[in-house]
Order: sequence, then C-alpha cells, then structure tokens
Amino acid sequence: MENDIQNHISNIEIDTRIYAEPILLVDDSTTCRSMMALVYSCAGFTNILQAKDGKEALEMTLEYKPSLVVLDLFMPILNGTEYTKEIRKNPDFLTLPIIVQSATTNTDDIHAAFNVGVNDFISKPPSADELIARSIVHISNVILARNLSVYKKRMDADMKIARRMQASIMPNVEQQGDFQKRYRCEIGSHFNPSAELGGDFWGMRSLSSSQMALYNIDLSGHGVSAALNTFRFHAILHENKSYFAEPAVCISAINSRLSNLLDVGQYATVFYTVLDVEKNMLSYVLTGAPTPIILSAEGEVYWLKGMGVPVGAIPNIHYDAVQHPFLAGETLLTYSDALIETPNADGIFFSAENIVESLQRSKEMPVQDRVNQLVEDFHSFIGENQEVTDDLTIVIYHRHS
Amino acid sequence: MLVSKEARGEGEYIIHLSGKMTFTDTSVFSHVLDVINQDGVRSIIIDLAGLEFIDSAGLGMFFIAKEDAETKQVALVLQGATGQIQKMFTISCFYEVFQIR
Repeated sequence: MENDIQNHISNIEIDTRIYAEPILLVDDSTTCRSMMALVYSCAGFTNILQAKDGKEALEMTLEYKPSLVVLDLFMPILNGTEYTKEIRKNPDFLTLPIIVQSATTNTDDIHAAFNVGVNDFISKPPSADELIARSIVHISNVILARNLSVYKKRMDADMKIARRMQASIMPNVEQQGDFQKRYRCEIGSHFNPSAELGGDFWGMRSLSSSQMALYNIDLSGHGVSAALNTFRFHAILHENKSYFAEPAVCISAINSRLSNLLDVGQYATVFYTVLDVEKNMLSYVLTGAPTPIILSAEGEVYWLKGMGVPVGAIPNIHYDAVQHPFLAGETLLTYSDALIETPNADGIFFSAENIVESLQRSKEMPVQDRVNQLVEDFHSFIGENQEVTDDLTIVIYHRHS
Repeated sequence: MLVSKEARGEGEYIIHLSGKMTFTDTSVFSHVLDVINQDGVRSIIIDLAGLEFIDSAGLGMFFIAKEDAETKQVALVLQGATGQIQKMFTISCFYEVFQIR
C-alpha cells in the first residue's frame, strides 16, 4: 500500500512541508481510526492525532491546532455536525479544513454538514488514494494561506512605516502653526492617498519675513512608485537654493533634475507659488495641475489660470511664472485632480463650480473646517459607495484681514 | 480604452483610440508602442476623436510614445482631441512638445 500511494502522488510536485502538518482523525471506531492512521503514515504524514468523539476532537483541536480534520458524522457524546458547529464559533478555526467521511447516503445529512461549515465529503470506507489526494489539496491550501498571511503582515507593517514617513514630508500641525503666526494666515489641509501610499504631497517653505512658498505636487500614477517619486521631488525642493523665491527658475531647475531621474512617462503636475504678504502678490507656476481658486472677502472668485509641460517629463523646458494679486482677507484653494475627476454613479464630476459653492457656504468657518466641509460635500456628491481611485489633496490658505 | 490600427501607406499608420484612457490601460497602450517600434514604420497618426477621458497616467503614455518615436525616428502626430482631452493637453502644454492637429 505504501508504494501504491507514493507512486500515485509522485507525479505531482508537492511541498514536502505538508507531511509534518498535524492531522486529526475523528471516529468512534478504533478500527476505522487505525486504518486511516495507517493510510496517512504510509503516505508519509508524520503527525497524526486521533480522537474518539466530537468532544475529544474539540479539546484536541484547541490544543494541537491541526491543519486538517477528518471527521466521522455519527459519534456518541458530540457528533460530527455538532463538533463543526462548535469549532466554527472560534475565529481561529474558521478556515480549518474539515473532511467528513461517512457511510451515509442521506443527502440531508450531507447538506446539514456542509451548512455548518464542513469543507469536503468522502464516502466511507474511503479509498486510500482519494483520502490522501484530498488531504494534500486541503493542507497545501492551509500552507499557502499561512504564507500569504505572513507576507501580508510584513507588508502591512512596512506600509505603515512608509505611510508615516510620507506624512512626515508634509507640514504637521506645529509647522502649520508657525507659518500661520509668521505670515498672519490660517491654513487647512486634507491628504488621503487612494492606496496605502500616495503620489501627492504639499508643503511650504519660508523664504523671508514677507515671502513664503506653497506647493501642491501630484506625481503621475499612485501607490508605491508614485510615492517613491514624491520623496525624490521633496528632497530636491528642500535643497538650499537661492531660486526658490523665483517660481519659474525653480521649476525649470527641478524639471531638469527630475527629467534625468524619472522613468519615461512619469512626471509631476505642479502648483508652486510664492506668496508675498507685503506686495500682496502671488507669483506661481502651474503645470498640468487643476486651476487653483482665490476667493475674495466679498465673495468674488478668481481662477489662477496657467499651463506648462508637466515637470520631469521632458528636459530643457522653459517655464513662465504668472502674477496675481492676493490681498489680505482672501482665500487660496489648491487641490489635486481627484477632486474634479472622480465621477459619481451617473458619470458626472464634482465641478469647479461645486467647489466654489462649498467654499462660499463655509465662509464663516475656521479654515480646517472649510477643508473638511469641502471633502464632505465632495463625498456626498459622488455618493458614499463611489470609490475614489486617485489621491486627494486639498490645501486652503486664508490671509487674515 | 480601445485601440485600432489602420494602414495608410508605406510605413504609415493611423491608430484610433476610443473610450477612457486611464492607468488601467498601460497594457492596451503597449499595442501603440508596438506599432511605433515596428521596423519600417515612418509615420504614425494617433487619432483621439473617439477618446472621452484621459487621466495623468494616460498623458504619461503619450510621453512614452514620444520617446519611442524619437528613438525610432518615427513622425508622431496626435489629432482630433476634444473636450476634456483637449483641456488636459492645453493645461499640460502638449501643443508645445507634441505635433498636434
């Protein structure tokens, strides 16, 4: 018998680790258990446990955590169906494979067993080949799931760290507070990557007592590759260069650097602006990014028009900066394209007009609440169940009167 | 997105794109790159008349096509962009870096 079984399975490539996995055989007949144990040990399994009824099986399952249970249905004290019902109540054993082996031909009994969570059925007396073949399938799946779960845990832990790192390249509450004091403004923001990591980031740089830079960057794509590029871009933006007060020079220089670094087809859309609170002016470069909006204290709306080749796509591009007044009491909004390119169920987008409407309504609120309100309005427009497949970043900068 | 190819003459092709061109279409777009990289191809027109929507990944694909076309010395023309695609081309200054009509 040993040779037969091993010949039978020798054609298939099998992970040899399965033979060390514990198997629990449950049957009230000592003869049946011994026969099955012999079949398994001939097939090469080394860790075979036996229980004589459902109650003993429950205790042994908890203690030895088998990778497979082969279960008789009709047993004293606790039968097979009752055992299955009990063990499935425990979240640790929801996926434990249970093969029922029974002489019953009553389909109601078999259905009842499947209904309480049995995975497979084999008629009794089982054919040795079939029993082993099915066992190998189930135990292989257990090992596969275990490996995947280990891998997932490691990835999750990694992603958590990466996500924290990405959050740290954006201004924290304390840094925002410093800018608010220094430039007499109020800042609110929202950053929500569509995957664990995002391809968006925003930030600020202090340039002089009256000048600061504000930027909102969206690297093409999302997920890990885009996130890695946010770190590249951020590193370049934080070098100590004199040109940061000159948006056109700054973006042209960054474009040259990034064109050499990024893969073909990767690029960044950029809104980079220098705010001058003495001259009451903005000077900005906008390349492929959605139009930022300025709202005056009286409710007038200005669109910051601009265009430019996305940064990092093609070397030696010359960028021009655009000037626009930015007075005390005015509010500047910049956002990533997810805000206006996520369709609702009818395929309609949240429009620039919807954005303005939300901002007009939230006029009296603190700036962070206005950002939250805009996010809420966006989500209620696109619908609760509609998935946002791109990273969403929103920054509102309000100059105190 | 759907891609269809039409021969126009010796080494000349017109490629029609239709539907939505997004980050899920990179493998579909590789058919366009295959045409560009075929031996003997001299000129390619990408017809965008049937295209309804493009996202940032879609724009990136055109940069890849441009690079491949320059390497293989293939003349690349984008034509027929309307609506949102035209708007995206405008804000991204595609008119400066691509041959568009």
